[in-house]
Amino acid sequence: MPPEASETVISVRDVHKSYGKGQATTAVLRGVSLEIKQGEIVALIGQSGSGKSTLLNIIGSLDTWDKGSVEVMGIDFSKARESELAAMRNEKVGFVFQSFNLLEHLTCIENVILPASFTSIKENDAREQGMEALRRVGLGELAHRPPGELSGGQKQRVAIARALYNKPQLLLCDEPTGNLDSETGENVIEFFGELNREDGVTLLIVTHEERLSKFAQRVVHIRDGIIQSDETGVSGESKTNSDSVGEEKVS
Amino acid sequence: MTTGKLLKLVLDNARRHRREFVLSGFGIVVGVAAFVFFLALSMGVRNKVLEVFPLERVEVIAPTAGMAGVDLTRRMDESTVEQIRNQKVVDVASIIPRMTIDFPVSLSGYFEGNRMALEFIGDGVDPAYVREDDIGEMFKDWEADDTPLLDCQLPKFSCDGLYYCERSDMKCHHRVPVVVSRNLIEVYNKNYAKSHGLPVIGEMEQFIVQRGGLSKMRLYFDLGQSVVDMNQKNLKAEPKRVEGVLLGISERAIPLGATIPIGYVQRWNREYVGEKSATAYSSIIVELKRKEDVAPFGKWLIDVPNLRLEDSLGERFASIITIITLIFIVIALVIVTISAINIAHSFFMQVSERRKEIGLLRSIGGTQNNIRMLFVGEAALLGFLAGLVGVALGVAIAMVGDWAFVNHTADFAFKPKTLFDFQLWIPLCGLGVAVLFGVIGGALPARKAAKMQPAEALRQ
Ligand SMILES: Nc1ncnc2c1ncn2[C@@H]1O[C@H](COP(=O)(O)OP(=O)(O)OP(=O)(O)O)[C@@H](O)[C@H]1O
Ligand SMILES: [Mg+2]
Repeated sequence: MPPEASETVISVRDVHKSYGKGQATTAVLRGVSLEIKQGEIVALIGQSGSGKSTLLNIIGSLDTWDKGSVEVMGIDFSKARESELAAMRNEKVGFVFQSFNLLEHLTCIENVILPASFTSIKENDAREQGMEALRRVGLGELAHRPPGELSGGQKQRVAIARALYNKPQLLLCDEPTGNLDSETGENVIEFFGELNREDGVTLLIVTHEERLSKFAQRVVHIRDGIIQSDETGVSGESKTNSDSVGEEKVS
Repeated sequence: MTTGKLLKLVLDNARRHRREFVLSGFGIVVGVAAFVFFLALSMGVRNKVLEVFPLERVEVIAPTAGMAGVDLTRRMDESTVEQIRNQKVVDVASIIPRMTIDFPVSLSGYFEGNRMALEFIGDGVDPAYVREDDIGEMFKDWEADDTPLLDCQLPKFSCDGLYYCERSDMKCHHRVPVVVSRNLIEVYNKNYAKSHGLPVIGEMEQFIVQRGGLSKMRLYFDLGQSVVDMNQKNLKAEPKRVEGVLLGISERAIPLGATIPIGYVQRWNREYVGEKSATAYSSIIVELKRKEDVAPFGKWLIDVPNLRLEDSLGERFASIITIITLIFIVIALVIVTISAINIAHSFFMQVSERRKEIGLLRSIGGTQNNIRMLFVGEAALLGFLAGLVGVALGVAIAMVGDWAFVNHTADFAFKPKTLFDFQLWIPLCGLGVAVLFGVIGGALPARKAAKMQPAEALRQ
């Protein structure tokens, strides 16, 4: 774990977001503030519908918010242009989703180098870089297979390789082990730990899984759009067992 | 995003959605095929018409005018020619005054053993303008000067070469040289020869040689006699027979008749009608250097009292063809427009189906514009491919049509060997229209895809 003095990667201040208008308004985030420093592994837990994904997407510049400020890796989202945010997602942030989101008509390697579509890197260089990422997740041999022929765990590793393609400093994961059995889930978790130790990658992980929240050094508990607890160095189990375990298979 | 990478993504997606592509591109194929087919057809027909009736050849006439029983029709003569020559509005290639014969003349001859007689429709032009190679110096007024004529050879009243014996003065006169237009031969071949069992005239020169040379191309002008109207009224001279010789085909011959040197017409008109008739031109053919000069020349002519342009057949046909073409192009465009709507529909469905893909692309660095270009690119590719097939289909149908037209329709005058003229711009336009309407169809769905909120798109 990096020292305290490391710099701030994510800074969310008093963020509000609601859907709908007038009577039908539902507030999803009601004044969320969160600061995450470089090299941290943070688990974001909470009931289904509590606003975890919404918060993660806002931090990833994939969603809008109504009030408050969001700053990620020195970029103030409210002032940044769209192209600037796109470049940030392309170069500095990796996303890992519960449902993998691989394109079935492409091979694994083509999926991994998809982010290169939005840069001017040469196809061959991109493939080399992509192979490196695939080997890193242990799937070098499956590079030219379509994802349809892979198991769930393998698919998620391809998706992680895609997230790692541009060597991001920040990995945003929305229930990355949600679709995996416990053993493959374990592997993914271990791999996240390795990334954090070796490359100093900052991880923000939305999860229901106890194992994953135990593995994090910091657990943020969100409830009804408000951060209820934010504990560092303590495993999240004592606080959130009842909520997270109970809801595990809902989403 | 570089163009190459965009293209790769677009091609990958096109391969993935082959079926949708074929279905939604079908309308474009049909529309473009129709577009290309009708354009090439109208260009082909138009070319043929303008070949027969060249636009840059206009005819100046003096319309009949009168007031209170006084004939005010302008008489066109040398001064009119001068006036046209001296105008500064357009460049003229040539000015050819023509004079019709103002009294009845019948023309007869023996052809394939039959005597054939018909009313002479023809006029005279200055021989200087008739200079086709095979006609050369023969087409001239042989009696323009007072060169003494030889006496007929007795006892058979014969003369040498192309001369004939005129009994009234017992002198050998040269036969009046006659030229006809290619159009007349065409009409004869297609509409007359076959139905009357007469030989078709291929190459005129060859035809003359086959028949035994110019001495066998003899014609008879019966001045003052009509095949149709037997009661001749107050002509100033008695009917008389003059011999002629058909020399061949000339560009400058009257379209559906025969043309002789103007000197003969002047003398005959003077003899049978009077001096006035011998000095007035019936029309003046003006050949302009460029088609575009027709309008300014016509405008200039409006200001010249009592002269106007004869309506050009070529122009009239050309504008009818243009109107018909426009109608067909509108039909083709309607088909293509419906197809664009179809494409829009199909692409809207694609955008919903590929929601998560759109969200993913945004999450890995795609901008709104990248997403838009992706869908627009797919629509453009769809249009392009459908356009290619459409152009090929249009050309194929045209070829089948041509084949059927050439082999399975009756021969007629001016029947072209092909109905179509596929100038390069036609398939290019077809492709352009296809791509354009593909893009139009894809524009709104592409916009919808681009405006999609990434988080929303990624939602389960
Ligand atoms: N487009 C939308 N319109 C209306 N309500 C929405 C919309 N998107 C999300 N919500 C609501 O916002 C709330 C928070 O959603 P979010 O996806 O952030 O929850 P979550 O904590 O990730 O839940 P889960 O654990 O089930 O994934 C939910 O109540 C959801 O119904
Ligand atoms: Mg969620």
